[in-house]
Amino acid sequence: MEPWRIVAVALLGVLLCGCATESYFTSDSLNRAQGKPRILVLPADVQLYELSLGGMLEPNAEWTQSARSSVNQALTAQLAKMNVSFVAYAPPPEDSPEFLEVDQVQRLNRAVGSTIQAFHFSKPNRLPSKHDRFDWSLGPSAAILRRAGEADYALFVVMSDSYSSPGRQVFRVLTAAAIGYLPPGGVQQGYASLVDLKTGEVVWFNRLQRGGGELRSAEPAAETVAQLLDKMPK
Amino acid sequence: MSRADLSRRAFTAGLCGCGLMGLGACTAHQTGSAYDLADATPGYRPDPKTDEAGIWQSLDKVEAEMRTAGNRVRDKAINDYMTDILCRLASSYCPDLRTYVLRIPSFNAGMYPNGMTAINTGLLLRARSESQVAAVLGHEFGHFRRRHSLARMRDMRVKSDIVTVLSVGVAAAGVPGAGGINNSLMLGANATVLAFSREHEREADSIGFEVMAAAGYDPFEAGAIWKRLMDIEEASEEDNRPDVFTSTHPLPEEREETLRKKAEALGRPALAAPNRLHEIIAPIRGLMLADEVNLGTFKRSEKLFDLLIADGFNIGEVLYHKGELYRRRNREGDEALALGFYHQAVEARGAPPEALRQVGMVRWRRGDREAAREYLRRYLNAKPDAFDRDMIQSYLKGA
Repeated sequence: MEPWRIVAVALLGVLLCGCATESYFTSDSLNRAQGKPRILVLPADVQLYELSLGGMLEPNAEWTQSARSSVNQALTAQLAKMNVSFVAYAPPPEDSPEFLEVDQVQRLNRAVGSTIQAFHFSKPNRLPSKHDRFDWSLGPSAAILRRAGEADYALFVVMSDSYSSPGRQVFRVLTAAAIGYLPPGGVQQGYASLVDLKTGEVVWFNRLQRGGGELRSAEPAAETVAQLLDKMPK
Repeated sequence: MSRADLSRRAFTAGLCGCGLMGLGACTAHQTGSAYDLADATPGYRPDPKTDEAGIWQSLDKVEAEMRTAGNRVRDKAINDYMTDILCRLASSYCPDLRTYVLRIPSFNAGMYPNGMTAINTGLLLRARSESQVAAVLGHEFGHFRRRHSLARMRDMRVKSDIVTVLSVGVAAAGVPGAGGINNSLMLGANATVLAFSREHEREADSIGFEVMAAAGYDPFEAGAIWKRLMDIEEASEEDNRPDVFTSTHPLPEEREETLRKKAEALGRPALAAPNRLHEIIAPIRGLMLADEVNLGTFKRSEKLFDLLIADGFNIGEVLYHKGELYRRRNREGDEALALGFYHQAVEARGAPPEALRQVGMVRWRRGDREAAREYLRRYLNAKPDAFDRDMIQSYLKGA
């Protein structure tokens, strides 16, 4: 086998291996002092794309629709196995002030989520003031979710996934055969973040990134969700 | 035949096969040509199996965020007014469109395939008349009706497919200088994508012109808004002229000239065009002027303020912010100039009470305490609940 083929196969191996998630936490267990911890599960933010032959990511409506429901179902099922109480999110009416407040917390969570990825997961970017500690919080505003859902923790899940179009699949195989370079296929990435609603502290943050995984149908979606929640504090 | 030859043939044959089936067969979602799209009809929604549905779905998500956005202007009169202009232009499409006025000081508006219509305050501040706002919204409606977003996505897909296949083909054939050839391919494809975009802009200009004229707006204002933007841009010291080759839009000169000639052919409307712009944006114009000052683009903002002064609506408000522009720049002599504008503002219609305060503060700094106190007193009389009342009163003590 020529050297570049070995490199391509090795790269593929890295993408497909089980080491797809990376986790940081402030505590490896949930607070069970008052019995089963209650976890409010916010609707997962899921977006699926089709990777065109030429490498463009195009949002795919049907896939996304189906992934949104299978990821949310898998989340409930997975939490049930973890001996915690699941609290479904009931959004306040859209024109109420509570809706805007909850919306703000969700926006804040997205901002904190991308900051954690940029400034904690990327080690060279770590902020000197954090002294390498995993120390992030949504602040006291997270308590709004506690009132809305009677819960101790909130779980946020953001996932995106992309899949090679039929044209891209043919192109990848033929390109690998012709010049020995395997053009990249789809990538699955996302994160789960667990927030203590008493303090606003991000207790656990898990990032998933891999070339495999499948969210378009229910069973493999459950596998992805299991991967995502695998290291969650028990 | 060597193994490499075989794989080259297989590669070419395989991709040609995909090409022959029509590029539609290369995607999982249903797609079609970029180049002969029918108009969106009123009430139109794409089939969920199509690439177009993907665009709509991601825009629905953007719209959900826009609904609760912190920079959304919630003044009901302004939103109703924008919807009213839009409905005059879009007539039977009106129920498909939803208006969002956003507090963003740059000149822009967008009507997206799902009907979400975003209008920046920077457009409302720069426009001279309702007809100018209508010209811009009419243009956006042109993009919407002709489904330009979908056409662009498909055009980019087809071209990136071709470039990708060709560059692997070049590499597989072992052509010397393959890197250079591939860069040229990419540049060439990019140029055609941009040319396609400029074609869309011309088409949108043309549709925008038709619908605004048909709705009874002054067709001369379609070209005039571009003239106005060019005048503001020319005041800038920076050289930010768009390049003909790499620009997404045609040059403003070309757009202005084309639209002006169309208006000359059509003539003025028989009835005066509706123009409620100034009264309706009045409650937020002070805010928009302050946002403009905060942009830190002194020359352009000064030119804009001079145009607004020439327009003649609530000049005092504009003069006050022109004073702020100079005070904030704070070069040699700027304070004296700012003082002049504050004085003019106080004498003109529409000045905020803060103009009185600024006359007082600048005079105080310059040692003219008696006159300063006089203006500060007038400020507190005009605005008894001023947030800085206590501080101002400390200046008045010891008189």
